[in-house]
Amino acid sequence: MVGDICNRKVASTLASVHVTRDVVLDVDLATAWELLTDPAELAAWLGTVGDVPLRPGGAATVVEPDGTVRHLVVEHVEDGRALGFVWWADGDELASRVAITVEEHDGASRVVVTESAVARASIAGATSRLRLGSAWDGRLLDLELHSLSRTLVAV
Amino acid sequence: MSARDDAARQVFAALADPTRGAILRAVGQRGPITATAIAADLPVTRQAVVKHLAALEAAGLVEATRQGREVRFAIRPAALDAAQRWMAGVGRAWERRLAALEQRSRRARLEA
Repeated sequence: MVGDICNRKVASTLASVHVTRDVVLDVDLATAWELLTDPAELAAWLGTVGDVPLRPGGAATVVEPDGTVRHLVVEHVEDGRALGFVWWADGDELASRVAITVEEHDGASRVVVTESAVARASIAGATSRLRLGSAWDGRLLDLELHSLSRTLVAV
Repeated sequence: MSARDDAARQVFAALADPTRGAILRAVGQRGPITATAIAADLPVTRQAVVKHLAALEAAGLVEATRQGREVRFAIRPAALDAAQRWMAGVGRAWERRLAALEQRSRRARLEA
């Protein structure tokens, strides 16, 4: 019986490996979101990050205080509320999917982080598609701006 | 890559497929169990179950035992070690980051 319970626990744990942590920040939601997404603020708690394009497919590199370099690709953004990304350390074949949410909590802001393990191979296609999608977003925006400038010149 | 990292990589690579996760849960709940019995409860063929079980066995997550003409599969609890190590490491990292975030938020509140 104990063995059965142990086996169920092992199977259940292995089939849904994830870690969740949370913190309550004594600031409003807008400030909490800024702390979570502004590169200048990220440097204070996550690591040195260049610009983080807050859109699906946006890619960035994080250098953590211990020197670990992580590559990050944004998967989901709900402005001011939720951010989802996959990230992996240089040379590591394991990647993780991270979901960060911010919610109002007694006049403060509660930040919840969930990280789940995924094999790099299983996200390679998605990551590649996200990057391609992001590249085309940029190209189409350039095309739109170019067409607008031509219209203005014609006027 | 260390042997520990490699073990974790194998575990998570084996679990990347949701069907494999469902098979692992079936083995955990009903093992020792045959591939035929697992296939009877899942929308996959016995052949597919056998392939997934082979991947799980290669990753050290299940072990096969022959009983007469049958091969039965059971969970290997030791496989939990790699997952637990990964969870402990990730948990510690987020505790450190969120503590730093909280400190930064206090400074931001004072600056406001």
